[in-house]
Amino acid sequence: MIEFRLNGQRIEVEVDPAERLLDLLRYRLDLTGTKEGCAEGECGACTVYMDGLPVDSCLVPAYQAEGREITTIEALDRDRLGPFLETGATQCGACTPGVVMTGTWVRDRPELLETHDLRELMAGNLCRCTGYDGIIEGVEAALSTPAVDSHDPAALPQPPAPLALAGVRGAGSVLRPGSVDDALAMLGQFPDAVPIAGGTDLMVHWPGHFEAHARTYVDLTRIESLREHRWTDEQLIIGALTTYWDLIQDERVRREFPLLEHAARQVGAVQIQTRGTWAGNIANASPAADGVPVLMAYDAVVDLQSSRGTETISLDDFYLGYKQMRLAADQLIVGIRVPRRAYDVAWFDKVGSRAAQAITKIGVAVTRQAASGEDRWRVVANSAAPTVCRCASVEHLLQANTPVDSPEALMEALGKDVTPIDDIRSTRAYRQSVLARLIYFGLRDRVEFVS
Amino acid sequence: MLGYRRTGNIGPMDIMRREGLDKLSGRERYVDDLPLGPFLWGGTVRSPIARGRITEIRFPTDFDRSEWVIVDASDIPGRNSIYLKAHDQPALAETDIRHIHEPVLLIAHPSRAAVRKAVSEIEVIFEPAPPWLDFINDPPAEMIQHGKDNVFKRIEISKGDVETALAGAPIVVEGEYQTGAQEHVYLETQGMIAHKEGGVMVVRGSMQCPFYVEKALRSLLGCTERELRIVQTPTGGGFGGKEEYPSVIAAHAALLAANADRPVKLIYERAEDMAVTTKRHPARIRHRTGVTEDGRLLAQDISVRTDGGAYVTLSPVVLSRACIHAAGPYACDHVRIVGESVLTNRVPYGAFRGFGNPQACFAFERQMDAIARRLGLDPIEVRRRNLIRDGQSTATKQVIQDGTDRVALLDRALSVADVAGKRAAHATFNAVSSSTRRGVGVAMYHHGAGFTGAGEVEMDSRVHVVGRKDGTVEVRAASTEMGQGTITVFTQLAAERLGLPPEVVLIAPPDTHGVPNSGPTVASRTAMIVGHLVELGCDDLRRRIGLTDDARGPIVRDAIVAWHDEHDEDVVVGEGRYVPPPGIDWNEDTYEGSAYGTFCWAAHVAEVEVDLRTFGVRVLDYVAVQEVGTVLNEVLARGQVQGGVVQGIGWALLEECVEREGAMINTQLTNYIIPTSGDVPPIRVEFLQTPYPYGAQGAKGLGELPLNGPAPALTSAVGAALGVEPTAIPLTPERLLELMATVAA
Ligand SMILES: Cc1cc2nc3c(=O)[nH]c(=O)nc-3n(C[C@H](O)[C@H](O)[C@H](O)COP(=O)(O)OP(=O)(O)OC[C@H]3O[C@@H](n4cnc5c(N)ncnc54)[C@H](O)[C@@H]3O)c2cc1C
Ligand code: FES
Ligand code: FES
Repeated sequence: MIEFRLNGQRIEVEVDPAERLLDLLRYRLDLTGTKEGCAEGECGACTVYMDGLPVDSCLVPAYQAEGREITTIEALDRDRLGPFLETGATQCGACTPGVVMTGTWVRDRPELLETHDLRELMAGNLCRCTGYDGIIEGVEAALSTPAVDSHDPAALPQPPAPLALAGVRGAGSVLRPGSVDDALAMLGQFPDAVPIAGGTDLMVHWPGHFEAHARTYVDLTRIESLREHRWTDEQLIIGALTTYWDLIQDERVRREFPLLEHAARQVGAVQIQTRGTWAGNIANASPAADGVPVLMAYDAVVDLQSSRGTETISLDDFYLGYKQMRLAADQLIVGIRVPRRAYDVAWFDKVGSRAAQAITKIGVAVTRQAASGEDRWRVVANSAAPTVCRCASVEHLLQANTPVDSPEALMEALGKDVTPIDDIRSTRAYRQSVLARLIYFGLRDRVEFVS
Repeated sequence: MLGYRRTGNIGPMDIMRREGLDKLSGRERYVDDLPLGPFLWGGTVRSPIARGRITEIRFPTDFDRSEWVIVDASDIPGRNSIYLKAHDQPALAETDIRHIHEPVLLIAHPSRAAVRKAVSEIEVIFEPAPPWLDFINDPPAEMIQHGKDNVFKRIEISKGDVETALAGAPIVVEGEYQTGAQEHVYLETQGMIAHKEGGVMVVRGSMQCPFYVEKALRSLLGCTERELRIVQTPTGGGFGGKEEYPSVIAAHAALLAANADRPVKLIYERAEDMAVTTKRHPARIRHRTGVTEDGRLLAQDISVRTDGGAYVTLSPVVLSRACIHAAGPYACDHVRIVGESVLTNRVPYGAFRGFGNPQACFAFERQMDAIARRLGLDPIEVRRRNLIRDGQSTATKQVIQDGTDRVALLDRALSVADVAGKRAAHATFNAVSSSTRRGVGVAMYHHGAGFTGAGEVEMDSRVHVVGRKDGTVEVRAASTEMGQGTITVFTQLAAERLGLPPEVVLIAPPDTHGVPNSGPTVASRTAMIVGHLVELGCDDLRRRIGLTDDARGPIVRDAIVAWHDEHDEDVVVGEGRYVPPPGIDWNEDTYEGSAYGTFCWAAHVAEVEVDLRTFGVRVLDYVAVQEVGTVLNEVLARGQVQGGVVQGIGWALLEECVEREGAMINTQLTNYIIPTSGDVPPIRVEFLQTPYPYGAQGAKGLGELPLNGPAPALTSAVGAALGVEPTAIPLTPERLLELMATVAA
């Protein structure tokens, strides 16, 4: 039995460990305004608010709603949707509730537009009908329409009594520790248990992943102490539950570690950024991860903990091979630490197949420490090898101020550093060529020995 | 809530989308949202191979049959086919398999999770045969699976004497163009619910054409119209993808429900939907064009080949539209167009917005650019010189005489987009920019409105406009709302015709037991053709209640109420029935005559920036100017164009169906890439309006038109930016890199 607030009202409901919030809302609470378009966090049709932030409910396990405030399209004030109607923000309507959820979230937070533009904020809601103009203009119109505050969500009809759990389900279970110690004890006791944070990786295509339904999960999201990120004189400490959105919102991050912000803003779209964690990005061990290259370019270290003790590993040493890393089954990432240093060169280029909601086809993060000395350069590529990896030969080349006069001049070094492949998203030839070009053109505008 | 706005244009009353607020507030219930008592979830077991024979179906050892409804081909009471144009496609494969994912067995159970698991565990055992996956070359004998040569349809259009004209032409330009498949990605996946109600099988779901489903299911179930009722539920996008395919899923739901004691709900998940449903036909089109030195067309010799996939579906009709448009909106005295749509062992291709014309348009517009380059002329000038003038004829010898000034249309687009200014700015920009290049491209095209040829006459569509006891009016038509605005436009048309406020006009849900057959919701025919039937139905209603044709306003309402005072019937029925416009004559055998009642015309301009680091193409500006007859509702019309353009941008630059053994394998929205809001600029839309006397209030078809323009306009712009000539789409960065490498080499 879990308890949470749904559209302003308290609700108690039995949930299955394999149930998604989306299914609970749609099939047991008859809140069918929230739609399913993909089950993989791409389309945004399932957008709801969790504690006031837009999230894809297809990626949220129902149990994670516990203690939280969930808001669905049904709770929005109908009388304030006129602007969307007038601009043609809806056609077939299948994407529309999700669009309206994100759109009204922006409407109510105009300050977001100081850092973001509307097309970026709305990019997590795919629409196949409108071409987006009607939507963008609808949000703009809503932003300039004064609020008439007649709406009282508490006056909404009581949600119907939830339908009982039905059907055959996975035999899995979930443990929900309230402290790191409890979590470590659980992981020690159940060697097969899987930690879950934002779920944006684990929950993708969840309904069809039968084996995953049978597992035991240790849900970290109740451990409040892991949520915040902190600054000391020497470092930025990112918590295990710190999300992309948390750092995007921190003005200091934007100033001191701009690549963290650049990468975070290019992860999926807002609905993924509000849920996805930096630690999850590391532990997911995808060669395409966008958080990892920028952290690596800033020489981040990872703090691991288990009931056996603690350990710190430089991110650069963390990966061993494809999806393999120095993380034992009973260990948790409890923090990521980034040293505070000055950089005089720093950029991150991500090449995806579209502007948002794109897995990286090829990417590179490059930094040079401002302090003179040996070993100033970091060149880190993603989607170029079985793991995110430093390009040591290129770094040497740069450290030695070797003149570089074309992308081709980097090819030999890159040939030693990376091993891109052909796959469903791109080709080896493309990745190789574009990686060299990103580095070359990036350097050309920034350092003198590249022309 | 209905808002009123007047545009001051020729267009009359503009109201806001009637069901809009329900959609915006999440109240609209789609098929998977409908409340339902106890029901079963359906699932489909499919063929794992592209071609061969099924030898056995093996259930998991722990499979308890008593819990399940199981249906195979032997349970089909009528004819085992999805009947539309031909009987070749089985509803469930018996032994022979013609494509991967061909449905073999249906199952249903109360638990959706159990269904998913069983579908993945039930094994189809087979003897494989080599599949034929080449639509360009002629198949060897052992690959013949349809007729004597695998050709679903062959078309030849002939005007003048092409060979002689080509032989005499000072310059002949040849080109070969290829376009890829495209997935619709309607945001609501396909879904149906079927249940028995008394002796009637009721099937409700997401669809464009209730009477197509009815036709297929009558034959499949061997029942009468009365024993079968098809109801459209609010439909979350179609784009042609819910034209013929819903008959398949409806057939499956009905077969399961016929064997179950409660409703059966069959909802495709995204990956299944993308893998098994139809796509846009891949095409290879060749042009041989004879031209004068100043760029006038002397002869066009064109061959069109499309991949039909494993069954006929709508391939012949798609091919027909492709061929009729293949010569472009240009005048030429000598034209030959030969088209073939052929079988391959791929998941069948089918209807998709544009219906063959986007492929044709990409080819003829690229060819115009190739001609211009060869002659050293401005591509815009070459188009201007050849655009059809009133009094000239198309490839099918249809004389165009519609009062549209196509040269002015082109000029309007050039001036709205400021093409001259952009070109000058690009010359400067490209000279100094280190890693980006800009270019601008133009596309001119036409799109026949409504069914091709004799289609409308054969359809014999009808609409009822009925007066009810309380004086309200109800429009009864089978035309469906799937986002394009049917409900709103029909409301406007009836309200305007009768002089009544839109609130008193009701639109009946498309239900084969409740509405007459006004034809399928396809071919951009709904507003233009069916809308006009709504108007005729209003006129007929007026006569039946004893009013003259000019009666409008409250007296209509009063007369309806008065009629009911004297009659016992529930409603007074006015009927609108299709009458072909004068002068329409089409010869299906020779492909000569009026292929369409009328054409829409368009000029699109695209401005792009190519990133030389990544070969990514960014669309900086897009202008779409079109002549569509009267614009009935500005917001809706603009939305159709913007949506169609963005779908076209996707097809041109991003959307690639990666295939293995004849089926798409990138069946997820993470790797089948449609545009997000961040990938497109505002789409600037302008309409020119020359009312069409036989369309509702002067309207022509609009829905499909915009999809044709982006592929040629964008590739032309990329060509201008880089000095390359793309001949294939999607023009992904990977493909552009290869193209640049070949040019450099
Ligand atoms: C639509 C979509 C778009 C995406 N786009 C991008 C993108 O552009 N770039 C990108 O890099 N990623 C992307 N992702 C992937 C993913 O969201 C991120 O990598 C995210 O950071 C994962 O974090 P999470 O907390 O949601 O992970 P979860 O799904 O909760 O967990 C991921 C993995 O990490 C493990 N784990 C989580 N926390 C810990 C911990 N503290 N200690 C040990 N193990 C732990 C889990 O066991 C699991 O194996 C996308 C995902 C989706 C669905
Ligand atoms: S269903 Fe598409 S994002 Fe959740
Ligand atoms: S309105 Fe149809 S997908 Fe957006």
